[in-house]
Amino acid sequence: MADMKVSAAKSAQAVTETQPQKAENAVSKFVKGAKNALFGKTGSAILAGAASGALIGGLPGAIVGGTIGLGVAAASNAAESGKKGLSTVNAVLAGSLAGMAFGIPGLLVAGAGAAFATGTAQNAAKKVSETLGNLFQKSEPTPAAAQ
Amino acid sequence: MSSIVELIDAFHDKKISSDDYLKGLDRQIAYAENRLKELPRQKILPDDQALWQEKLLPGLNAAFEGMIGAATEAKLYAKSRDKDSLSSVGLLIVGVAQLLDEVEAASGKVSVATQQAIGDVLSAPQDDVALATIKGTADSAVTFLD
Repeated sequence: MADMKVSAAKSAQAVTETQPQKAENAVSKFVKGAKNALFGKTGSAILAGAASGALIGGLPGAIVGGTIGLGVAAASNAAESGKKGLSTVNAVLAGSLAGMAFGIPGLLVAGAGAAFATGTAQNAAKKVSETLGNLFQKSEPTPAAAQ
Repeated sequence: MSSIVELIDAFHDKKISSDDYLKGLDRQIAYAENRLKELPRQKILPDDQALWQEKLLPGLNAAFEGMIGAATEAKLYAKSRDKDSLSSVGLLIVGVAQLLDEVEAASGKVSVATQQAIGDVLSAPQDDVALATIKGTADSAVTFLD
């Protein structure tokens, strides 16, 4: 009987300990939904591949030492890898892939990477960059990567 | 709600009109703006206030502002048709995605109630579209090939 009580207590403890994980998964679902609002299924699949290193690992040397503009080559490279749906959105994904390769915070800062045509986007880029860099300690691109 | 990337893709391939493209992006902006308004209204437990104020709230704020910036920037493509300009849209989108990843990771340290609040803020873009439709700002449906 005592063993049963101990067992029940352990079970209750186990349930308690697993609750945060379950809740985190619930948040993950919503994050996934928000990302779909940005990328859609096609873009998400391509970028997931890039994030996993499938595309970044295959970037030509010029990309590693280049600018965002050269990110187009990364998109072309990915297209050659047989990724469907990339050809018509390669300009968007080029920027995305370059961001993944070099690190977003530095590239979003005016003068370091992208040139934004609207003040809204420029301000947003500054805020995203600062938030990633300051609050979440996402590193700026290293001098070696930016060369 | 069609994604920014899907909208650009469809417009680039002439599957949707310029008008529908811009309306689709306006829906994205309306969604993010509504979420920004909702953020300060979230009821956060005292134990979670520090992390909420320090990381979660600014992270979500920046994410939604980034979303608005990306959609606003993408609207220019309707006139310019300059594909190079879309790289900056892509950068912003990935920045937002990274912020969402960070928010997701940080949310593991707060209570279930706060996690639910985060979920509420991030969820139901359809409701925003419905709201936009009621207001008359979105009066046409856009369909896409996936």
